[in-house]
Amino acid sequence: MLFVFLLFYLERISRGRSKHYQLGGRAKPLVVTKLTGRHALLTALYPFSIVAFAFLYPLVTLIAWNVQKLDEHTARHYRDMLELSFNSASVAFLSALIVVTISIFVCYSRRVLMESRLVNALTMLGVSGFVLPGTVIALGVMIPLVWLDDRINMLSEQVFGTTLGLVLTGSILGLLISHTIRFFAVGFYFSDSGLSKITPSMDSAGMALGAHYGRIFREVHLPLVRNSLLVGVLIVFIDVCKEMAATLVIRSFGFDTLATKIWELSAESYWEDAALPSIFIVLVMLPPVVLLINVSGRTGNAGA
Amino acid sequence: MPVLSCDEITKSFGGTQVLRGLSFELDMQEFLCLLGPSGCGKTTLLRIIAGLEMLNGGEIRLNGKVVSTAASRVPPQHRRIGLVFQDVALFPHLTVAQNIAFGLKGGERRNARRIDELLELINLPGYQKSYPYEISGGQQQRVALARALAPNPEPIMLDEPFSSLDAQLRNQVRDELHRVLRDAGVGAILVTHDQSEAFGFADRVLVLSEGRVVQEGAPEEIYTEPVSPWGARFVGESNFVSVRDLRALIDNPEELSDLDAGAEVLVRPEAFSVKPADMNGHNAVIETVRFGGNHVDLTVRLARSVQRVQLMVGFDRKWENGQPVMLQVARFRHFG
Repeated sequence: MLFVFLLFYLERISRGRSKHYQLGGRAKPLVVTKLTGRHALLTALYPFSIVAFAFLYPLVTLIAWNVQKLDEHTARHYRDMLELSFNSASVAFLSALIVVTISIFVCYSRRVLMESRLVNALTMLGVSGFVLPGTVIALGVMIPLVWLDDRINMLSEQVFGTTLGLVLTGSILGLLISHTIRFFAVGFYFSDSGLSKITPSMDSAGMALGAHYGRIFREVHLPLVRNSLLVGVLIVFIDVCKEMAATLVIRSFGFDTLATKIWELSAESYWEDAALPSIFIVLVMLPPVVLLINVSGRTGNAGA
Repeated sequence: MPVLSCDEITKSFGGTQVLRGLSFELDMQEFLCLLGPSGCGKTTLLRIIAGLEMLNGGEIRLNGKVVSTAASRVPPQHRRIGLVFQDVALFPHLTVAQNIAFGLKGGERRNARRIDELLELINLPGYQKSYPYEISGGQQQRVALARALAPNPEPIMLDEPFSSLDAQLRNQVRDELHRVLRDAGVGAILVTHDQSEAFGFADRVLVLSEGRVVQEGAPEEIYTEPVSPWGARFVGESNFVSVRDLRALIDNPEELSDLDAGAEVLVRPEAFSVKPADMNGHNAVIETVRFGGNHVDLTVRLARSVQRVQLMVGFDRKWENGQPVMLQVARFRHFG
């Protein structure tokens, strides 16, 4: 943990010395070299082998296991899968939106307050959430929520004469908070690198040309950072979909995601049963991955 | 009435005072340069004039109207001041035409004629659809000027606009910007630390040091009659020669009679004339000869005091190391 803080600090110093703003759009697009023959084949082989061994082979295995179990699968089974997928996707999507929204606010306060030590220290604290184990964060979120639920119930008993049950701990609020803490660093990285493309003098130029903050944000900042933010949302989405440790601790009773289902089944050595949710997790993550490839391909420098 | 007047401007950041009671005026269509070393407060002054920064004391008036005091400030959006930056700061996702139209009501579509006119003015006709990364650094800076000029501001302020350009390009872009501003009939303030940029651009130069104006005048005046040894060194090559030595280098030494023999005077490198030693003897010896392209730099040791001076001469004659010569000083300046 200490080591991470040290690294983070060193990175800040080295970046602080060389503020790398993109000067007036001088960055030229990279030149594309077309490879041919043997070189093209070898170059293509490398990424293809990764896809083959890390994705296609396991996928085929999963499908094969599934086929064996096909007669056991009922309609109810598939409905469960859809519900789990919906849980995974909605939690992931909401977390990603929250993370990126908070990141934008943090990046803007850093921009406006320039070299404020307090803001820098808080940012560092926020980013360090990434190195904490999910279960630790989940417990850290759980304890105050349980306490708050107790207060709420005490209050409602006095006022209405009845308890309300698990208001906070029973909702996905705890999940969203712990995912936000865990993946803030990811959102922050993409917002920060997106905003650093906009030099302070672009803002000054806009103002001198009569544009107020709102218009500068809409017409200058947003188009320039949009892709970075989109990439941030997608990466957090994918990360949350795979997240399981914190979800296991903090989810309310009966609330499962694809990841926790896979963990439950494989922990009991029901490997073949875990195959179906595994295929669904691939399906849920497919659209964001395709979108991600699209965005990075279009800009050529997603997140850079 | 001056277009802009700054009156006793003061500004500090934290505990450091950056501007210490700075005053000047800018007339219609005048080209003024704020010349000073980095850290003299010139960029801060420019940001205060543009309304991007508050001031701590003093007053700024634009066309007679007060726009900045310690208590209040008209926002930059309502000042009609054009800004051009060192880093160009064109919006990279917008085309040249969209960049120029940014400050115009109605955007690109309703201002096609004005955009054409400005592109004509900056000598880039037909570049409407180009993106900033598709054009050269010099062209980008010209587009940035067109963007600043579009809403008809007065004055235009340029913050080190040439320092991001290659050395060969610098003079060319400077002259081009100068011509564009003349043709547009708009006054300008150039902020720079480079005296040759200042001299080549401005009608009037303000030399700034530590948040104050230390000298004000035409470029020739700033160069030939600096008010301090620091100012002399800052705007060009300088030799400081003692009055005692100088007596041997001028025609009638009597004019130095009321100066202290130990005092030092400024002699610019081109204010010397040099001849090979003749029957009248010599008063200096050449130590090094450096060919400088369109001139020759000589380092010469004075015979009387062994002091070395740098001088600049044409190459109508061949000079050699160790050659005895007769030096003459045509112009010098004494700091009283």
